[in-house]
Amino acid sequence: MLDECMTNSDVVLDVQDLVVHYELKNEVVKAVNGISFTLQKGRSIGLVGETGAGKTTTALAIMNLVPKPPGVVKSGTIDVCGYKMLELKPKQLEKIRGKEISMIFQDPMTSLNPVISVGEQIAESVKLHENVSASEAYDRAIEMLELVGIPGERAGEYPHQFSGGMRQRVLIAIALACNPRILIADEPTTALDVTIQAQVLNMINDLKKQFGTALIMITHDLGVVAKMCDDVAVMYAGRIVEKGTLEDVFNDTKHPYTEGLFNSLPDITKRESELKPIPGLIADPTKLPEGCAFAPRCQYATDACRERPPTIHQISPTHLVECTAYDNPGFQIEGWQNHG
Amino acid sequence: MLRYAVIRLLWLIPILICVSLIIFVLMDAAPGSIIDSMINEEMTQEDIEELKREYDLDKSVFYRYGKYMLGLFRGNLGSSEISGLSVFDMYKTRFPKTLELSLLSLVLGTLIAIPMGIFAAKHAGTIWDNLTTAFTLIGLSMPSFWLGLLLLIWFSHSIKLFPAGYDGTWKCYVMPVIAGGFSMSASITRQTRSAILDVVRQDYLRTARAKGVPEWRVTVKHELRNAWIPIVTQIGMMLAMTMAGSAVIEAVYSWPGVGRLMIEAINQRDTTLACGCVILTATLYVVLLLLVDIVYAFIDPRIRAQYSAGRRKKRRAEA
Amino acid sequence: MSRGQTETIVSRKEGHSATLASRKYKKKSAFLESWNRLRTNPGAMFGLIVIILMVLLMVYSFMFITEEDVMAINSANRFKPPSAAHPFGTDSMGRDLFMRTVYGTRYSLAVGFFSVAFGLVVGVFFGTLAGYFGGWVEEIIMRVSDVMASIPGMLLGMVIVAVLGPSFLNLLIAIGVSNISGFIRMSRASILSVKGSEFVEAARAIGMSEFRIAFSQVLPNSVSPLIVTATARIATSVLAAAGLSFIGFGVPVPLPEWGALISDGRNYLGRAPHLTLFPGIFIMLTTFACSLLGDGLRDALDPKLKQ
Repeated sequence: MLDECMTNSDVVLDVQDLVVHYELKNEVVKAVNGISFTLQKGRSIGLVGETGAGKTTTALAIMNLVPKPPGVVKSGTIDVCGYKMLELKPKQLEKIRGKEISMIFQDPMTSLNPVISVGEQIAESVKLHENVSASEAYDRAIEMLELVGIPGERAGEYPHQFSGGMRQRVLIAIALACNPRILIADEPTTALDVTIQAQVLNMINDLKKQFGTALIMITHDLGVVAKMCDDVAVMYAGRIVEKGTLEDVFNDTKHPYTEGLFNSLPDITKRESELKPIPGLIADPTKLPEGCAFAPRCQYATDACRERPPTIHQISPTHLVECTAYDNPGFQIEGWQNHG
Repeated sequence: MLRYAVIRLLWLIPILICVSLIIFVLMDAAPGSIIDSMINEEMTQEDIEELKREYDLDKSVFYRYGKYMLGLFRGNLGSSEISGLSVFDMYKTRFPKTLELSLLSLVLGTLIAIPMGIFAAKHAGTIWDNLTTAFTLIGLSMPSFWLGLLLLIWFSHSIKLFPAGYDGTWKCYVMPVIAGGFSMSASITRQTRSAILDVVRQDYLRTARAKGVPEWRVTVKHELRNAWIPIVTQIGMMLAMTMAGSAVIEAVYSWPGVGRLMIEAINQRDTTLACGCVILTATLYVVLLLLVDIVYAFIDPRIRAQYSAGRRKKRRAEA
Repeated sequence: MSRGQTETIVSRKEGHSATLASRKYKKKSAFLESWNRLRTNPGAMFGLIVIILMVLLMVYSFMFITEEDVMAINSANRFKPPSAAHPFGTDSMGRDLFMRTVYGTRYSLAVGFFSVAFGLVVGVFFGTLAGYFGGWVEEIIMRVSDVMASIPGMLLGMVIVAVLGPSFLNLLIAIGVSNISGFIRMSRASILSVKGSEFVEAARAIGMSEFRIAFSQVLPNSVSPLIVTATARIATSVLAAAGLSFIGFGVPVPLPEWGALISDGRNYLGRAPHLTLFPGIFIMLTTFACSLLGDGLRDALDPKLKQ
């Protein structure tokens, strides 16, 4: 197990050419349309994009938890520590989920089972994956609770007795209970108060370092990415439009959409500065255009952009952008030097 | 927890008083009275008045009701006007037969219904779901007495496998249990299906799956435990309704239960016996529904919390 | 389920299809939209057709079958099995069972209709009062309703018949009364859910009286669940009436109510099973049709409830 991971030069997660659709009665929602990325041991990648960009679907596909029907994984491979997630039998999947790879979800209010005590919910995970007795598992659950800053004696209490931030901590405790190699955090702080957000993020960061867990951070908040991630992948309409290290994407922004995201951030140091939202709405995933999905909203779009799929350009060994405009070697986006 | 049970028990008292009062007043207003059979031609007006006094017929109905309820607590509901036996004893001897039949039907119905309801919910929208729905609708539409008679025609008259009435052997239970269990299973299946469907899309199931909980365990531990309340309610309701409506199925199979006792009493104008049977059965019905309510609290910590929150706060303050 | 469910799954994640769908629906009127949903539901359509057929049979029986036809004793014709002349056979007194069953349609349909209508009118009136006014009005109404719900319908039916004697009207009263408390709860609950909404505020702002708001503004907005419940109650009421008649507490014997017909037939199970079979099929068809239509209406009137 461990050896396998080592042989793959520390790559714990390898997603190649993933395509996931939701096939409804009279339309097909093309949620994820061919994305690839890898994640190394202990590193963290941020998946950034607007609601509907396919971030959560990607995460669910990695866990092989896309609801079927209507979800269909059309193609692609997902390799978690040497396991081909999409080919495994349910029994094997159950062994990997929670043990090698865990996920915490967006809404802590609904993600905990209301009729089972929190201690038991953490212990369940331990019991499933480790050869321990019920009481040992429960002791471990109490340890985990204390690790996320909740007094151990509250283990017997039920989710409704905890606040939103506390519940998210419980979810983190569940996810990390078996010390997984990979943690997927799907907008873990969106539903929380700003002050609590920072606490939870710090805690994830600390635990990640402590356990050496690789992290996939799904968010629409570039601030969170800057704080938490080594690498960034910007998603639009089910594709990764720009990918690179934090440095690459933040300081050498290449894709017009990434630029748009940065321009939509308020700058609190300059009160008079105007927000420049991206015009239009995110592409309708049931009716994706032939060419670049972002073209209808893109100020640089040309006929070439609208007619054929965008081309991929390797800016540097770590930096990738998917934009036809870079076919022209002289092309530059306007505000590229602005976000330091 | 105890507090909750006590609150619910206290609620029972006014409801029971009202229910029994309504029934008593209605039955009291029934034509004919207990002394009618004692009056003969030779009696003078004074003799009749004397008799009326003896049976409190000169007092208000509420007085008689009060006296009756006092008797109920002492296990004395008067004696049957026809056989002269104690009403309470008659009910007591018949009751186990009704209970047996209802419980067996319920067990059969539940054993069929819960797996079937889960199955339908898991296959919602498919042909399997539609077949289950059709099955439950037929079960709900088929009068249980009619199904009972059809079973009789086939198993008792055609192939003579089971006896047509009560004979004390296990064989005589088969048909009434099937007839009773079938309609029960239909409504419990429906309730199970919709309760499971209500929870299958909950986020916490995704959390459970994400931590590697096997699918069967997701169903049994995470879904069913959240779906229990409406299902248990339905099961409790069905038991209460079956016991209260036992007259019909007991009439089909000449079953020596309280339902048939009640029919006989009413048909023979044995008002004392009828009134006793109705009030005891109604009491049982109310108590059963109450038990269901108390069972809730064992299942759902949120409901439990509502009733013990006050106590816990106090305990914390003391600590 | 599939459409409603998949839509929520997807819209939660991707956010698009739900808005598109609602945009599409808004153009048509609510009634037409519900009707179109109902029309495409084969079960509900089957139920509707059966109910219409039953009503037609009833009309036919009023026009062409006299009481004499179904009561006249013909001892030469006893226990005839089904044949061309007597499609359902004849009973112990040589009466044609088909005629009697068709004649009996009126009792079941009347019980289904009137007992539910009675329960609906009384229940909705008090339920609306309780839900809208709250306070001690609500407290009293709900406690009375609790008591009524605590008397099992079957027992109440037996008691009422014991007191008033078996007759069709008494059967109607017994079942009607047991229908009330369900409607009280139901309408109170739906009133509570619309009470705080903006159009009620608006009505208050133009100076409408509270009583009028309750019945002209709030009530119409809770109609769908009431229709659904009423349809389902029709099925249970028909069954309850048949059960009471079967044990001799409903329509008195010579009249061909379906439950009473079965009660008569049970004496000849071995000799003439058709006497039990046919009236039972009619009871089952009627309640089955009402249940199917009720389910269909639930899905059609409130797609959110659809499962």
